[in-house]
Amino acid sequence: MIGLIARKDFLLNLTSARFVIGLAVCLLVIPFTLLTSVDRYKQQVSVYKTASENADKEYRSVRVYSNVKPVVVHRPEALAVFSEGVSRNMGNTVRFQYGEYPLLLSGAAGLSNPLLNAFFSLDFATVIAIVLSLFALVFSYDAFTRERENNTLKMILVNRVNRSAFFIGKFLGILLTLAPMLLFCFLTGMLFLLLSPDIALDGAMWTNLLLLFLSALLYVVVFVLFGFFVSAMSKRSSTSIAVCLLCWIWFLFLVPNMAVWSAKSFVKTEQYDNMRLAMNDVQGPYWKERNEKEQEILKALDKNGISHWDYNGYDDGSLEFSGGPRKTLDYHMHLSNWEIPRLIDYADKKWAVQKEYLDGLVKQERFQQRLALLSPSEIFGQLASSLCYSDPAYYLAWMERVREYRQTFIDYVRERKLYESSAWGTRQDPENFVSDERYREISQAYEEAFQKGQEAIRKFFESLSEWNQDYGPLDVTGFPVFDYQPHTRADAYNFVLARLALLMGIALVLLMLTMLRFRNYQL
Amino acid sequence: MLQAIELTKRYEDGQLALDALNLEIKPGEIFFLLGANGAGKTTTINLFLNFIEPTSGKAVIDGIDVMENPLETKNYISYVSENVMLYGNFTARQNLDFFAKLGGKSNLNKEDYYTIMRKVGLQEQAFEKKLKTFSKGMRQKVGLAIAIIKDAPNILLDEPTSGLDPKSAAELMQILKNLRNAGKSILMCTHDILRAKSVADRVGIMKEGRLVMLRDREEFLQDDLEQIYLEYMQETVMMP
Repeated sequence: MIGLIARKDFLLNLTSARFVIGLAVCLLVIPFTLLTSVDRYKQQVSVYKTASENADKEYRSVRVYSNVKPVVVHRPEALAVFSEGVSRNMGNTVRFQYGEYPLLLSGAAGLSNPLLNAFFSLDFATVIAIVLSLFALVFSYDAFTRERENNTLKMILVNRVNRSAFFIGKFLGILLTLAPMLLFCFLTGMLFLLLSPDIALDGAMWTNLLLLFLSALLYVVVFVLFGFFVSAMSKRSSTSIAVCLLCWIWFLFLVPNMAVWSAKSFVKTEQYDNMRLAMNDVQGPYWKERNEKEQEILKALDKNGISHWDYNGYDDGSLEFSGGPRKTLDYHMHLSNWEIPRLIDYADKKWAVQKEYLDGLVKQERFQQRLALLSPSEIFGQLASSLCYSDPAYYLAWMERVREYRQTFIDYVRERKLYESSAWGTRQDPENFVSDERYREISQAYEEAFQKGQEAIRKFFESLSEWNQDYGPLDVTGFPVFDYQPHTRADAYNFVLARLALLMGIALVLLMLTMLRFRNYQL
Repeated sequence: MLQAIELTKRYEDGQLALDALNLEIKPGEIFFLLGANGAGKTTTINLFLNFIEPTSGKAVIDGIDVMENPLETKNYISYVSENVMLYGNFTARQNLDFFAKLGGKSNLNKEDYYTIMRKVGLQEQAFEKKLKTFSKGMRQKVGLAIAIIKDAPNILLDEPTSGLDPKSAAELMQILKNLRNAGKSILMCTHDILRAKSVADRVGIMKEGRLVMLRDREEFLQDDLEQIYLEYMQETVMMP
């Protein structure tokens, strides 16, 4: 009997205008959405490749240890083609610094909270959430009311069919109708993946895609059961469709916006600029200490200042110089030996400020996420972005790994006491640094050559070849390299399982309520 | 055989829809249950079909208590509703096929369906047409075909002539006569006194949930059934 009723509903739905419209919408919207997303992904990959090449080139061309500062470039996730999540809010590079922990990907700071999925993006998962929920309701809102209005419910129940069998048959019939739409959407998605040479998925990604399909199926089940529930509570189809559409608007559009608005209103976060100012305050004593240390070193070297033949340097311990008196080298070696551990210490102090700011962002995002659980569409959206590596947790985990990498890198430098060596700031042999007297003579010779003209200057530089020698790039092969496989995060799977369980729970509650109601449904 | 024994239904709002109805419809008998709207006719049918539960008493179909064995009794009963809509996107044959299979007739072929549809007077060219193109009379005939194809010994009809043109109504009555001759027990709820006079073996008038009058064919043919019915109805209208 169940099969008979399911078959009847499937055939009736298949020949209905709503099925044709539903399929046509999928046929039009899904390929277009995927085309746009794949195109965007290709652009991201192109940007990533350029940024990676530049970063690598820069990394491999450094000549001194103080400039060995890797730039970590985030590779765009292929699965984000299906769900963009907060990926649009994020930048793609993180630059290593001794004096500061990386907080978020560059470009992310432009938003008040890049972890909030506050912008509507028409990706695959969003289209699925909108289109399939709408059609699940369109097929189920009149499941009982229409049969009641047409007297067919009585004509069915006058046979050896109990209400549970009718209910299950009806449910399966509608699910069978929606299955081709869902399958079409996913098969088109897979086709796009397989036909795009830039997209390569590993085993974990295919598993996630399968989980995304199952989640979408469960999501459709929830909306079918919701339509059933409203139908079982209504006497007329007109009432049922009105209630269903209102609820659909609530779930799809009002809850997400309400969640973002509430999170921003009720969970206040520190402004990014204020955090930077607070970090500067923490950093304040460092500059005083550095100044004192500088004076102390100069005093010990019996110098008022230092001279270089060539010098480049900036705040984060980076410096590169060549030529000059021996005391210049001693000065830099003493200062770097003091400066780098201090920068690392101050980074730890500043991290407390950064962490507080980040915790605020996370707290706001979690509030939004929990409030959004009022909508099955949002639960599905969270599931999709988690499975497609575009949710806030993914980016937070990625940044956590970058910070761990920073620590590994620092440990490597510390263990080898690289900042104590002359190669921290120069590749020139320490023996080639001269006495103060000799440096004065060289300076004098340069002044004279400068007065005589080009030929004299050329000869002068030839006589100082050890100061102007190009030592070529440093060998950086031994330094730690960033590698991260974010696809096996246990917390992500727990998150997905919790959301799946929640959708399942909603489905079960709706199933029980509807069955209870339908048992006494007035014919 | 259909039996109502002290069958009573009081709804949750306190309304007494059926008050201790005692009735027996034998095989080969057409029983017309007359009465105004809300008199308890449809409640009686709903109780026989187990669509609602009785407050007390019982409905019995071929000796089986409907409340005790609801699914079992469904084997012995067919039903034609007032306004047969069926499934508009199915053809007449597809509708018949679906309900026949629900009724346990899974081995029928296209010709069997055509035979039944001819029997109820449906035009040949309508057999494979979608039901949404049918008139009310044509749909009613398909509804009757569904009831007949089940071949149940008891048939319940809830105002089946409502909205039918005289010709279709007359055809329906002829089909009922044939079914009676085939030994079926037929309970038909209606306002249609003219049809009752033409085919009913017995007639009952219901008022406010009670069976207030019961006449067999000879009695109501002698009396003026219309007059009796109107008298009961007027009393109803005059009630405060």
